[in-house]
Amino acid sequence: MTPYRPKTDLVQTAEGYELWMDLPGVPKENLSIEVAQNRLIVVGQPKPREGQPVHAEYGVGPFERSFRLGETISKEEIQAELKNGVLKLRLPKSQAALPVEITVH
Amino acid sequence: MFSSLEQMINQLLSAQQKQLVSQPTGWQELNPQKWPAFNLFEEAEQFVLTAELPGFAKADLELEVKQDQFTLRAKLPQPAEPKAPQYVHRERGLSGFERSLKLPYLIDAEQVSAHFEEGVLTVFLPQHESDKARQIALA
Repeated sequence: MTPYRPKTDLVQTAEGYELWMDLPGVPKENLSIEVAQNRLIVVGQPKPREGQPVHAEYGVGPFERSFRLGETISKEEIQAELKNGVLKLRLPKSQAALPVEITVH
Repeated sequence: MFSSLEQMINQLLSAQQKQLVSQPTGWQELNPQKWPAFNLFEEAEQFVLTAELPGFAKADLELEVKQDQFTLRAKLPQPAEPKAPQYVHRERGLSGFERSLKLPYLIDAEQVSAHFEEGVLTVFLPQHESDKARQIALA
């Protein structure tokens, strides 16, 4: 049986990064996302079905995953969306960290 | 910058893998596919199956019941953006699949119900009336 450890992708976007996390069975109210100093911490608990399964291939338990955020991520602008059991976190870079194109005169 | 994803090797991962709970008699896997993961619960005169399907939408899923057989099929979900994502780190994977099970009784196809919430599919597979044990009164 696979223990509950949310699989996570990190994708680079034009404005920064996006973090995609599989959270099947986790309702919004059982999920907490916290940014403390430079750490992004995702803590949650999937809602298990009552009773003991007679056959189990996946575990349903509490989890915690944490990631170190770089200096360039604008913490105030982080946005989260939970849909179909997938959490999408938008992690934009601060304006100062985005590349600037310089025109040659 | 985002440093390399630090993988929390937490208590979940280090926890010893629990042995499979014994399989109910009559449960039979019809194809070797082990994905998506299923949990099966036994209730009065029915089995309840749950499956983890994060990233799928209701419209991607197809359920079929025939006699004692249950089949779950899914096509690959349409990506939200047409452009291929630029992965820095990747653990998730999505693909279409088909998985079939044989239950130890005839399924009452008319009474089967299912719901899909938060990426988890729950299917109720009740036993057909004609397949239930009957008490015979002694004359």
